[in-house]
Amino acid sequence: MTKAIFLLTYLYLFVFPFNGVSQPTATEIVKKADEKMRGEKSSESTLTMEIIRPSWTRSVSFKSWSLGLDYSMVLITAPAKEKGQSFLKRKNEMWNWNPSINRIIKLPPSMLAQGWMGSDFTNDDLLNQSSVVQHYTHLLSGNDIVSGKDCYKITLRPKEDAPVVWGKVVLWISKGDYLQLKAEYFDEDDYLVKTESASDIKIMDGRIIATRYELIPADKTGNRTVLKLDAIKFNIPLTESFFSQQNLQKVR
Amino acid sequence: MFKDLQIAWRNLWRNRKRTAITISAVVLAVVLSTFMSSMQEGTYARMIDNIVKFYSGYIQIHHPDYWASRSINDTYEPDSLLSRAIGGTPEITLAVPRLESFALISSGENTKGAALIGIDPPMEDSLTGLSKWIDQGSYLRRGDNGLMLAINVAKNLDAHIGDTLILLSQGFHGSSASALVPLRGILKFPSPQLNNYGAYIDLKSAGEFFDATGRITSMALLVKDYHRVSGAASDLRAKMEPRLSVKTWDEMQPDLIKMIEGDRAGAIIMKGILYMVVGFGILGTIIMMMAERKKEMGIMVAIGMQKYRLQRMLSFESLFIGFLGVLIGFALSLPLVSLMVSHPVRLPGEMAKIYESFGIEPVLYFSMIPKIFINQAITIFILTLLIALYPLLSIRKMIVISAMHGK
Amino acid sequence: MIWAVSWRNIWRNKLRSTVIIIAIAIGVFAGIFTWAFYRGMVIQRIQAAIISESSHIQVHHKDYLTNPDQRYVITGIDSVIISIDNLPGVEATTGRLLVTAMISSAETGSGVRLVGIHPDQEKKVTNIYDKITQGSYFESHRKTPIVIGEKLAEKLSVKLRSRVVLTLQSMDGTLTSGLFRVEGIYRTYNSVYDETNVFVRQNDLSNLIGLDNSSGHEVAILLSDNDRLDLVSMKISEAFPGLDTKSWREIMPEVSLVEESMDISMYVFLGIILAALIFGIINTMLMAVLERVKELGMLMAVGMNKLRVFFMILLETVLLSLTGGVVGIIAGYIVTVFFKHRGIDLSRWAEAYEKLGYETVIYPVTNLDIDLKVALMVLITGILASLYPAWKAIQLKPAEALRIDI
Repeated sequence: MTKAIFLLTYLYLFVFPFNGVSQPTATEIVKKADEKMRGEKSSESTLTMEIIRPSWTRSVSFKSWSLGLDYSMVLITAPAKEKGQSFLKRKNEMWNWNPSINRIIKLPPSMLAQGWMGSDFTNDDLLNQSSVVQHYTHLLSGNDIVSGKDCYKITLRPKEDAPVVWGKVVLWISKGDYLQLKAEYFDEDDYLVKTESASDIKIMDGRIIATRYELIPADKTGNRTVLKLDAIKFNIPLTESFFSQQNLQKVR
Repeated sequence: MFKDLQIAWRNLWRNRKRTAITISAVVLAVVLSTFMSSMQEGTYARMIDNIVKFYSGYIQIHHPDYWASRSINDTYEPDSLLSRAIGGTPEITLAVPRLESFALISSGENTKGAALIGIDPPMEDSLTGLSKWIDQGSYLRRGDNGLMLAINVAKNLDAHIGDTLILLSQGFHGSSASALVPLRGILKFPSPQLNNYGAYIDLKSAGEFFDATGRITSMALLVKDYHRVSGAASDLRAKMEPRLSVKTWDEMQPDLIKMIEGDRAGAIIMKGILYMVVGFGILGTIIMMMAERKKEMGIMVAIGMQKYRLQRMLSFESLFIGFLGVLIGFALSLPLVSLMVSHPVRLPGEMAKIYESFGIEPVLYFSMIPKIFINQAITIFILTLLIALYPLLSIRKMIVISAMHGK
Repeated sequence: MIWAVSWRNIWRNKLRSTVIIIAIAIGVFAGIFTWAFYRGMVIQRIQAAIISESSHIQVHHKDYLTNPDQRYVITGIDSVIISIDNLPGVEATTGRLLVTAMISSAETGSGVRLVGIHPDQEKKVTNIYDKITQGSYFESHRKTPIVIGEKLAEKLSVKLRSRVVLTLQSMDGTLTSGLFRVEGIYRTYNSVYDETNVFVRQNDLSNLIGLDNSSGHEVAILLSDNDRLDLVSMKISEAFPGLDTKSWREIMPEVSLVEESMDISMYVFLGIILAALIFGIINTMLMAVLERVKELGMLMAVGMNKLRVFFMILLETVLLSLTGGVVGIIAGYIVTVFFKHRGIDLSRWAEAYEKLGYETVIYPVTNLDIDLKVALMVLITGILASLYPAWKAIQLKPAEALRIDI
C-alpha cells in the first residue's frame, strides 16, 4: 500500500510535469509567446508585402535584418521606383535613407500615424512595440483552432496607466510551440478595430513559424495588407553596430 | 370711387409746395436706404470675395471621397467632360487646378512637415494673386521644377534662395514620393498663420512627385460674385455628380458663414435706425400737412362729407405720394449707385494702408444687384402706408367744430 | 427779448414744435446709439478673438515664434508671470507649455498642438473652460486628464473617459508616449482650432517630456482694458528685453482689419443719418413756414423787419434743436445703458443659423464725450437746416400772405 502511494507521488511530482499536463497561466502563455518573438536573437529574412485595396493592389519586396525587437534594418528590393530605399530602427527611433535624394531623414512624430510604405501597418506600429506582457492583465478565455493548430485564447485588458489605446485585445497562441497566430484589437466600446492573423505554418531554418501575416482593418472593407515571408535565417552573426546610420546607406 | 381717386389726385396738385415737400421726404427715404443697403451689400460681397480668393475659390470640384479623406489616392483626371461642363456654365470666370498633399521638406539638418501644393502658376495668380506676396526670389513659371515656400517654413528650415531642398511624401497608391528641388521664391503673407503653412510647386512637377501625373485634388472656380454661386453650383452638380463632387465656399468654410451672419444681423439694426429717422421725416411732413388742412377738412365734414370718405380720399393721396416718391427715389438712386460702383470712393490715409497690406483695395464698395433697389422701394412704400395711418386716425378723432376753428 | 418771443412762438403751436423736437431727438438718439452699437460690435469682435485665442499680449522665447520648437523655453517662467501680473492694467496672466504631438485612439491618429496649462490660472485668461460641451475642465482628480475639441473627438471616435495616447518628443529628442483620458470636450466657433488644440495639465506634460517645472513656452496676458495695450506691451518689453513680447494686433493682424473696416462703416452710416436729418428738418421747417404764412405775413406787414423775422425763425430752430438735443441725449443714454448690461442678442436676426453663443451678443458702449460730440453735430445740422426755410420765410410777400388761403 505504502509503495503504491510512494509510486503515485513520484509520478505526480516528477513525471507528469514533464508531460506538460498542468495548464500554464494566461500570463505565462503570453510571456512565452512574447519571448519566442524576442528570443530569436537575430534574423535575416526576405519578405513580400501586398497592399490590397478595393480598386488597386501594390507589391513591395524587401530584405530585413533584426536583433531582438529593438533593432532592425529593412532594404527595399522592389518595385523599381522604391528599390534601394532603406529603413533603420533603433529602439523607438526610425530613419529612412533614399538614394534618389541621397539623404537620411529621421522620422518625426507627425509621420507616426502614416502607413509604412502605404500599408496598413503604421510607422507607430513598427516603432512602438508596447509590451503585451507588461501593459496588460491576461485571462485565459478558451481554446480555438486557428490555421489548423490548437490554440489558447487569451483576453488582454490594458492596465490603468498603460499607454495603449485598446480597450481589449484577444490573442490566439498555439499550444506547444507558442506561436501567436491571431490577434484581435478592440476599442473601449468592444468594437473590433483590426485583426492580425498568421497562417501558412512551415518549417524554415529548423523552426516552425507562420510565414503569412495579414492585417485587416475592421471598418474599411476591401482593405488589407499581407506580409509573406519568403526566406529566413536565424541566429546569424549580427551585433548592434550593424544597425547604424552609416550602414543604412551601405546595406545591400 | 373713381371720383374719389380723381379728387385725391387733384388735391395733391392744388398745393404743389406741400405735396412736393411730402414726396421729397419719401424720395429721400428711398435714396438713403438704397444707398446704405447698396454699401452694405457691396462691402459684404467684397469681403467674401477677398476671403474666397485667398485660397478656396467660390466652388471646388473634387473626387467624391476627397473632402473627408484628403488622401492623395482620392484624386481625379480632369477630362473633356469636365471642361465642357465648366465651359457650359457661364457664371464661371476661372477654373484653377491644384494637386495638394502633406509632405516633409528637408534642408540641411532640418525637416519640417508642410502642405505641398501643386499649382499652375499663371492661373493660380489670376485667382489668388499669389505672385504679389513674393518677398525674395521669384515667382514660379509654368513647367518650373522649383519650389516656393511661405516665409516661416523657409526660416524654420534655414533655407535660402537657390538652396536645394528635399521633398518626401507618400504618393499615389502608396508609392514613395521623393525629389530634390531648388528654392525659387519665398512668400510673405499678411496673416501669420498663412506664413507657417505652405509650399508650392508646379503642377506637372507635383504630378511626377506624387506619381499622379495628370491628376488633381481639386479644381477651384471663380464666379463673378457670391450671388451667382448656387446657380453655378447646381448647374455643375447636375452635370458632374456622382462622378465628382461639387462644393461651394460656404460648405467648405462654414465658420465664415457664421461670422458673416453675425455681421449681417448688426447691419439689420443699423437699417432699423435709418428707417426710424427717415420714417420720422415722412411722418413729420404728414403731420404738418394734416395740421395745415385741418380747417379745410373740418368744413368738408361739416357740410356733409362722411368721415370714411374723407379717410378714403386721404388714403388715396398717401398712396399717390408713396408711389410717386418711391418711383422718383428709385430713379434718382439708380444713377447715384452706379456712379459709386464705377467710381468708387478711396479710403483715407491710414486705413488705406492697412487694407493694402492685406492685398485688399482700400475703396468703398457698392452693389448694383436689383434686389437692393426693389427691397428698399417696397420697404419705404410700406413704411409710407403705415405712416398714412396717422391721417386716418386723426380724422377719426376729429371734432368737427374745433377743426373748423383751426384747432 | 427776441429769445422770449421765439420761445413763446414755439409753444404756441405745440404739435408743430413737438414734431420738430422729436425729429431732432431721434436724430441725436440715432447718432448716439449708432456709435455705441458700432463700438460694441467692434469690441465684441476683438474680444471674442482675444479671449478665446490670443489674449491681449503674449510673451515667448525670442526665437520661438519664427521657429516653434519646444526647445525654446522661457526659464524662470513663474517669476516672469508674477512681475507681469503686478503691472497695472493686467487682469490675469498665465503660463503654458506648447508641444506638437500625435494623439491616437483605437480608430486613428492625428497631429495636434498640445497645450500644458494651469487650469485655475488659465480660466482667468481664456474662456475655453466656458466652451465645454461635455464633461468638465480639469475639475476631476483623475490622473492624466485631457480636454479636446469636438471636431477632434469625432475624428478619433472617442468620448468622455476614452483612452488616448499622446506620442511626442521629449526634451532629449527621444520619442515617448503617455496615456491620457478624455475629461472634457469643447467647441469654439473655429473648427480648425477645435481639431488641433488639446489641453492637459502642465505638470502632466512636463513630467512626460522631462522638462522642469520652472520653464514654459508661452505667457499669455489678459488686460482689463484694451486701451492699455500699447502701454503694458512696452512695459513688458522693457522689463524682459531678452524675451519676445507681442500684442494681439501683431499676432492676429486680420482682426485689426475688422476693426478698421467697421469704423469706416460707422462713419458712413453717421453721414447718412445726418443727411436724413438735415432733409427731414428742412422739410418739416418748410412745412411749418408754409403753415405760418399768415402769421409771418402779418408780422412783416405790421412792421417787423425781415432780418428780425429771419433771426426769430433761426432762434426758434436753435431752441427747438437744443430741446430736441437734450431729449435725444437722455433717450440715447437710457437705451444704451439698458442694453449695456443686458446686451443685444443678435441671434434672433441671424437667419436660420443656430445660436452662435456669446459671439452674437453685443454690449453697446457709453461714452459721454462722444455723446456730446454727436449732439453738437446734430445741433449744428439742425441750425444749418433751418437756414433755407428761414430764408424762404422772408421771401413772403406780406400782401399775398394775408390772403386767406386754403
